[in-house]
Amino acid sequence: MNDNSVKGVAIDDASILAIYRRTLLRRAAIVVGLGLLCVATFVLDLATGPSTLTPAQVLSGLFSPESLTAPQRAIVWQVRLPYALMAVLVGAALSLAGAEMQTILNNPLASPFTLGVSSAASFGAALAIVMGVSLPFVPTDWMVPLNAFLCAFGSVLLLQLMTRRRGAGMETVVLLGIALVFAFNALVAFVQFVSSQEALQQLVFWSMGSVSRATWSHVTALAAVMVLVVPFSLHAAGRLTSLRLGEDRARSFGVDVSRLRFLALLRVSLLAATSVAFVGTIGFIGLVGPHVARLLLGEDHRFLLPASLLCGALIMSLASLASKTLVPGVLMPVGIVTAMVGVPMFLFLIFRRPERT
Amino acid sequence: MKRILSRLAALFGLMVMLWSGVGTAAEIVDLRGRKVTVPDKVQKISIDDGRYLVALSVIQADPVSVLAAWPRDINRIGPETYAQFLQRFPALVKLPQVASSAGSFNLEAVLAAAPDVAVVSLDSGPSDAQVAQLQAAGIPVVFIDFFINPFKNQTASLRILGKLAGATAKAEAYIAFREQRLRTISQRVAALSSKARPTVFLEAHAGMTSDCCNSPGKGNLGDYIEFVGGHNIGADVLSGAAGKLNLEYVISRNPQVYIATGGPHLAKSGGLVLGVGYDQAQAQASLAKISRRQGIAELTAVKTKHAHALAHQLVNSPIDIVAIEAFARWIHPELFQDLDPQRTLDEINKQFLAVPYRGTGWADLQ
Repeated sequence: MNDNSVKGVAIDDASILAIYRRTLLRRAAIVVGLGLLCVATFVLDLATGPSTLTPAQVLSGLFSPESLTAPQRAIVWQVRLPYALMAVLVGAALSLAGAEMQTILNNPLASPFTLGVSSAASFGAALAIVMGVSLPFVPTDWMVPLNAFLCAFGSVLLLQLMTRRRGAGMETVVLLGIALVFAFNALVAFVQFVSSQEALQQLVFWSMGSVSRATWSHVTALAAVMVLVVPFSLHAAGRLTSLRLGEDRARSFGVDVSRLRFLALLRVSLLAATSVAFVGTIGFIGLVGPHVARLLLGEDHRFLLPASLLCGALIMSLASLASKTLVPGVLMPVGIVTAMVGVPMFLFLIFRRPERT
Repeated sequence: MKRILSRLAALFGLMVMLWSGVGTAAEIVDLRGRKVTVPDKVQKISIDDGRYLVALSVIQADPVSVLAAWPRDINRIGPETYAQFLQRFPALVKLPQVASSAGSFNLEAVLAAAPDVAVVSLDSGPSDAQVAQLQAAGIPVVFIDFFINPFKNQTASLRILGKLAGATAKAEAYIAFREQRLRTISQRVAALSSKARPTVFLEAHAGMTSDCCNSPGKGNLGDYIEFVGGHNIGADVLSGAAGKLNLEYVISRNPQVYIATGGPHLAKSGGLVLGVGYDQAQAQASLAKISRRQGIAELTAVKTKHAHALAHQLVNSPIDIVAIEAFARWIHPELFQDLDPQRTLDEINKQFLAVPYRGTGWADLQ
């Protein structure tokens, strides 16, 4: 790693450019490598399960479903594929959201859930589960995700409104966000307190986070949100990098910081709210995915954002794999497993990193 | 005529109890194995689970008359059942309230209600310290259980309730009624070879959450399945009394019979609804909807119409014999063609229940 050699004395422009190009290439290679790893774990996730299907059968079932018996086809197409896809999508969404959140709040401890998105989603789900709130033209099994999404998204809009009124910096946003977290947690606890035993159980399971509620329509909805949001994220990468140098520096480059923040927050809440709505609360990914990416290739958001996305997908895919295999026949809520899988990976990277001087 | 007879029997039982207990205090061994001394003339008891009211209604013509307090946990017995009880026993509305076993125990409420005996639930009732406080205040505490291990503990629990409610004779009559029917089933199952046990996937509270496969494990509802000669696929992988199975596991085991339980409490979450307040057509439509869920629709049991729905109120209750007979018919139709759960339920309604069970208790996929 010879980035530091730039500080040396006699280096001409050409060699600086060459070094820069090498760095870019190295970073691009890391992103591509992460992508390949993701594909590999995704395939592994698909090939694993409590039934006796061989990986070869799974693969052939993907391309020619007729080659399998009806139950086998159901296993591949209605259990493994939606679960595995959901794991990848949720991991990617949460981790990307986390990366943007950490940058706009300039806080390494931020995650998509810092400003109350998941608490608000839990509250929405609790209302739907306990009160049985329903809207006309919405099927009952969509009520919980829909309500969770509306509350989560509503909380961010509320936050924006309050910040606009107060017209203050990021510190205020964080404080207001934390106020929202506590307010929603208290509301959820209140709803839990007055709810019946069945509703309570339902609520507890909901909030544990699990990919096993994934249906094809959920997968499609989350994929659509990703397709919608990711290009805007990548487009903003350069401006986000400049924000890392400090708000004033970013302004001096002509970046409209408050607009950048508002749009990033909007993307973060779309990604986080949709994920939470479909799979429940899955912590850790949104916090650690971006850090793993940062440890691998630094602050350049052109690479950090896609790498974060891939790291999240990778960790979630591994967690989904583990949640199936820890107790055969039983599906552990993936929210429980994510940290177990991610922490060793995270620790390894921290200790491998050269000590800061 | 039968009603008069049963009342006479109850009266007789009460007299026997009064006579045997004159001047002495009776001793009860509760479901924790504790020896509890209770007053010889118990007049009022408190309960910490509304479903004990339903149990009392099996053995007492006026179950509310023996209550000093109840938890008013209408969500557990269901609003429809509560309405039926309220109509029959308006005094229920004025009955003092104590904490339910689902919430945190409230000592003061029990003390204020001053029952002769406090009846509480095994595993979810008051802590040892709270029991000691109650006993010190002169209120004996008795643990019973209809829910944790219903199959094993029900007879003993009903017998205790019979003693406390002054309805020993009727309790014994019901226990005999139930055990005679259980014997019929166990004798035929005993002749089965172990290979002739069909695999069963029992999904408890089907559709309660959007993710699939709540199943009993070892014990609890699984006991019913093993008893009638089936094999609960959940018992092979779950170590606890209940848990969540992987949908893929269920599909790959390809169970021969699919049984979903549900009830009015699942209406909000779009799950399986049947039982009190639902008719046969609604129950069947709901079962059909539940069977169309992703993955479940592919089960051979569903495709070949070996899919059934049962009102969860019928299990974990003293009238579980109706559910057991339904299970037996579904799992071994060839062995138990002559069983008629509906007739059993009619008989229980006529001879025992103070408030008859009205509603669709079970349904088959059409």
